[in-house]
This record gives sequence, C-alpha cells and structure tokens, in this order.
Amino acid sequence: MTVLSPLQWFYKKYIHKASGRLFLASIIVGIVAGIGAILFFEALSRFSHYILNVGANYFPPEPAGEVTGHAPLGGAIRWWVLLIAPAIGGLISGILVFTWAPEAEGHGTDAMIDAFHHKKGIIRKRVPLIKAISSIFTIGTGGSAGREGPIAQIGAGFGSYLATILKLTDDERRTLLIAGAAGGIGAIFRSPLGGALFTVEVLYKRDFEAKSLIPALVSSIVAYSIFASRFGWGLMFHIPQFVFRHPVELVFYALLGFLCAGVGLVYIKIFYGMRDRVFHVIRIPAQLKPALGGIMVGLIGLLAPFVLASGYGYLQQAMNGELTIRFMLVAMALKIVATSFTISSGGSGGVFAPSLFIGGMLGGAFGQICDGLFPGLISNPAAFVLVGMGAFFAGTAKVPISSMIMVSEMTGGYKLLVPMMLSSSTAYLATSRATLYEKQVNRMADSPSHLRDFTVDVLENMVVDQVYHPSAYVPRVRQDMPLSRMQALFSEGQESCYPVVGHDDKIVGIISLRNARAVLFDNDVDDLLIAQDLMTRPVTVTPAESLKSALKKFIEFGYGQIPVVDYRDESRILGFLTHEDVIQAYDEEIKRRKFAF
Amino acid sequence: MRVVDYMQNSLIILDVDARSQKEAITKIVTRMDEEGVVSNAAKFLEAVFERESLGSTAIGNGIALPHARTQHIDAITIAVVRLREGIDFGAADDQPVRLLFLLGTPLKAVSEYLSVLAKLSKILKDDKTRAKIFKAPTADAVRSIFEHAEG
Repeated sequence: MTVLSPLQWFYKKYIHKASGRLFLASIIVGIVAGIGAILFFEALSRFSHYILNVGANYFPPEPAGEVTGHAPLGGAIRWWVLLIAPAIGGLISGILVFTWAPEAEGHGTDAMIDAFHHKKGIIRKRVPLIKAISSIFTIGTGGSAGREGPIAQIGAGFGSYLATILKLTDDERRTLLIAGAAGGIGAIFRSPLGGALFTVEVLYKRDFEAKSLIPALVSSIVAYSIFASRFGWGLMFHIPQFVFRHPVELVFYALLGFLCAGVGLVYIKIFYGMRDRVFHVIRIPAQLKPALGGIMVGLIGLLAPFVLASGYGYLQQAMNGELTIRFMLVAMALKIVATSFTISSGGSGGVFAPSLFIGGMLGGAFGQICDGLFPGLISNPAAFVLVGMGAFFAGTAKVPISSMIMVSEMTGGYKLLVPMMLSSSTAYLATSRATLYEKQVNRMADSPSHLRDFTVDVLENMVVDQVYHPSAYVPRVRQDMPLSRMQALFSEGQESCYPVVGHDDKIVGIISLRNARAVLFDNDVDDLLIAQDLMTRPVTVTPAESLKSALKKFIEFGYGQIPVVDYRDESRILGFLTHEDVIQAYDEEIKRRKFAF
Repeated sequence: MRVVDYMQNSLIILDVDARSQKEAITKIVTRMDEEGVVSNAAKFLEAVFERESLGSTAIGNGIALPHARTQHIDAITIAVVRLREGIDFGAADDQPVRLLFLLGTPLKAVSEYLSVLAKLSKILKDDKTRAKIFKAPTADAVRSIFEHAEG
C-alpha cells in the first residue's frame, strides 16, 4: 500500500476524468499481465520440461513458434512417470485450490466471468497466485488443460486488485478485470486483438461488453508487447500457404460448422457430466479428486501420450498435413475424455487449448475425408484444421468473433477468415445456448452488472402514450366542491386518485383516496370539508413523456395514478397513467428483449 | 393523538372583542405569531382567508373551524378563540359564530389533519360539550372539557 500511495496521489491529482483514469489503469494492468504471462509461461515451461522431458524422458512435438530446444536424449520413455505424474500434479493442485481458493475450482475463465457478473468484479487477492501455481502443477505434469484459464485469472485478479486499491467504482473494477484478462490472454497466445475481443465476448452468449473493449485493447497491446519482447514476435504456429479460392469449398466449411457443433455438444455433455455425475458424487475429499482425475489421464497417456498437456505440437503436425484420419479422430475423442478428467475433477487449467486441439483434429480428419471423397475440390485439406479450431471454440465457448481472430493471430492464417466466418457462425448458432462457460449469461440485460442501466434504459425508451388508458370522460372535482358531493362521485368511481381543478380548469391538486380515507364517508364533516382540504400537490404527465420520468413522479408523489394531460393545454385531461401500467410495461419489455434473439 | 394534544393554553383566548370574521381570525393568528407557532403570519393568514373564500367553515350552532394547510406552519396546531359577541360567518343555520377553532397544518400531514378535523367536528356536535365550552372560565377549563369528551 505504501509503495502505491505516490501513484494514488498522482492519480487523484491528475487523472480526473473516468476515461483518462481507465486508460492509465489499463496500461498498468497490461504491464502486470504481460509480466505475469512471462513468469507463468517461463515457470510452466521449466516445470513441464523437468517432469515430462527429464523425468519421463518424453519429448512431445512442439509448435513451430514455441520451440524450446530440448532435444530427446535417447532411450526409452519412462512410462511409469507419465502414469503417475498427472496424479501427483492433480493431488498438489487439489490441495492448493481446495484449501486456499475453493471458489476457483475448475477452469479459471469461468471464475472471471462469475466475478464480473455477480461479484462486482472482485477477485480475492490470493486466487490468481493459487490458480497460477496449481495450474503449473496440473498442466506441467501432463494434465489435459490450457493456459488461458490461469492467465486470465492472473490478469483479471490484478485488474480487480488495482481498481480496489485506487478506490474506483464497481463499473471501473469490472472493466479493469476484463482488461487484465485481455492482457494475459493476448500475451500468452500472442493474439492481442483476439485476447481483447475474447474477454468482451466471453461474458455473454449473445452479447458483447462493448464499453470495455478499448481498455481491453490497451492492456492487450501492452501485455503482448512485453511478452513478445521476451519470447519473440513470431507466430505460435507455422502454417503452409492456405488459401480459399473456390465458393464450392464453402459447402464443406458449412458442414464442418455443423460437425463442430455436434461434437461440441457431446464435449460439453461429457465435460459437465463427468463433473456432476462422477466427481461430485464420489465420496472422497475434494482435495483428492483432481488426483483421481490425474490417474485416469495418466492411464490414457500410457496408450496415447498425445492427449497429455496442451498438445499444441500435434496440432502443428495436423496443420502440416502429417497426421492420418484415424490418428486425428482417436486423438480428438481421447482429448475430450482426458480434458474432462483433468478439469472436471477440480484440476486447474483452461478449456481453450483442449478445444483448439479437439476442433483442429476434427477439422483435419474431416478435410482429409472430404478430399478423399471429392478429389480436387478442396485446395488444402489441412486448412480445415485451422477452421475447425476456430469453429469448435466459437460454438462451445460462444465466442464466434474472437475465436477466429485468435486462431488467425496464432497461425497467420488470415486468408481463411471467410471460411472460418462461415464455420464459426454455423457452429455458434447450431450449438444454441450450450456452452463450456456456465457462468456466461445470455445478454447484458441478464447480468446483474447491468441491472441499473437496463431498468433506466427500458423506461427511457418508452413513453406514456404507449401504456396509459385514454378516456373520453375523466372524473374531476372542483376546488370548492364540498365533501358531501364528492362522496357520491368516489363511491361510484373506479379511480384511486382524482384531479382537483381550479376556476380556470387547470389541475391544482390531487385527491388520493388513500390520504383522504379518514374522512371519506364521515357525515360529521361532509359540509365542512371541500376538495381543497383533501387534496395534495398536483402532478401530471404528458403523452410524450418517458416512463422513466413518470416513474420518478410516482416515487416522489406516492400516488397510485397520475392524470395524463395534453401538453398544449394542461386543462385537457386525457386519461390516467397508473403505477401498475409502468411496472407491467417494464416487465413485458424485458421479456420481449430476452426472447428477441 | 387526541384533539387536546394539539392545543396549548396560550393559544386559547377567551372573551375577545371582534366585529368581523376577518378581525377575529387576525387576532388568533397574531397570537399564534407571538407564540412562534407560524413562520410567516401574513402568508398564513392569507391561506386561511383563501380557504374561507372557497366555502364557509362554520359548522352551525355558533361554531366555526377555519383551517389552512400551508408551508408556513411546522406542526398541526389548534388555536381557540371565544368571542364576547357573535359575528356573521355565512353559516348554513344563519347563527352568528362565537367560538372559533383555527386549525393550521403543514402541507404533508394531510391524513392526520383530516382525522383531527373529523374528531374535532364530532366532539363539537355534542350539545352538552358545546354548552360547557361556551361557559368555561379559563383556558385550562376548555382543555379539560376536551380531555373529558375524548375519554
């Protein structure tokens, strides 16, 4: 705190405007996210090298952009290490998470989404650290999970922390949470635009958090630049010259979209089914469950080591066209199961990398099958690997735009944007509302973070004219009308409030029957009291007035209904607007918006 | 709250000389001003007259209940004036008025104000109570009549 107090001073003195404040804060968040990404990546690589390379003598292929230079030393793979390492990783990860940060169980991005919607953007300080360490144990020992979850939490956690110490508003904290996650993801995948878009897109199934986009971009640019300065500016994957040059190919890409949707739905079912029907039911302490998941992953790894860890090297091979249909289909299926064992048991790690693997293998197999069936129609079957990666994640994570941008930025495969747009949209729509991120909400209107905007927004866009009941005859009373005459009117009428008019017919007050209850049918005072004695402050609305303004009047005056008057001639009473009219209109509009998609 | 709770001895003035409605009301309001009950006596007086212009507040049997709801008073207050001679108040029974209960109320207290007016009016419908008030020797006596009437 003392270290940051000069910063706090600078902040208060110079950064008055919210946009300036957020801009500066986004840069700081980007710096921390970039450094966090470097440390996380470095630690994960070293640990992974120690366990998988040195320990198991297992050297999986690497993506062309992340070559570590660790060459196989020769000799046989130590299978027993591969078998038990994920279990030990799971055990340590489980103990760390369930002892110190149980709210961060499973994949980290969901925890970030949850913090945004339901926790005012607050992430406990210890969570990013615990998640980072436990993810290193999970992924570094071969667990099938990715880096996006933990790095999103590291960045988001710092954004949240910075907003809290600078005493920013809840809205600003949410924005910095997003900016932090964007920086982390943009850096570690070397996908600055995709990372920023991903974080504003992943919060909703059918919406974008548009107002946080610029802070996310700022943070992402900074974080990416810092990360790339350390690890190089190249792409993660190297690809052959993929092109899209014949419209007929679109048919295959559309089919791939549907296929990604189908497999995606199965993936989501297995992923959460494993958690809800297997791991949540088993009666052992939660700390031990990731170890159990790890044992299962280790067993799969014995037969198929390619499902272990991120598997990016195998994706690279698929892009190079080096894998067979059979291998890719088996890898896809086993990856679904292994990822479910790793993450659904409570282990730490993201779902992005496994999704890319599954989608890529599916696309690769499909491309080769189509090429076999219709020789010459497809320019390069391996292009389907890239499109499959993008489309599969677009559908399962409900991120159609950022998914293809991320894949393009990671591979440089921009020439495939058009087919990717088709496959991604198809997969996105065909998976309907199913999602890997269960904390996502449908739209902004469904997020508690936007509750206030929407109440106001809905009522601001509707006017009195749309909801009030016009009436040819509106009962009114003269200012000097004795109670004895009003009694007849009140007992026959339906209204809860009556306008009181002066000699010029203008409204001078309102009689609310609730206020006048004490004397309404009292014969002792019916000659003494007149309308003026019973009335309270006048208030009216006009047909063109917004319901927001009308609601304010209902709250301020406390009447059940307010007379609607002609704005050109206030003595013309057109009807009544009731408090219920406003509430009902709001309710219907919200329902209509929810089902609009 | 009972009607008597809104009264105070200093605002019960007995056997006052006044020749008109206006004079009688002005005398009570002046006393209210002296007691610091109203924040702006002139405006308060205006509000009472304005109400009177819309319809007489005489309830018959020589009694009137002039009243006003305005921002120039902070709490519901009943001031009482008993005149030596009755004056014309435009009453329905044509009887001159000798007893005035002036009720001042802040703007917001509409329900409470109406219920006080109703209670006061009910008490004054009783012939024996009225007779006692007309004969009461002191302010204390007037208040105890109300206390007795309200039980």
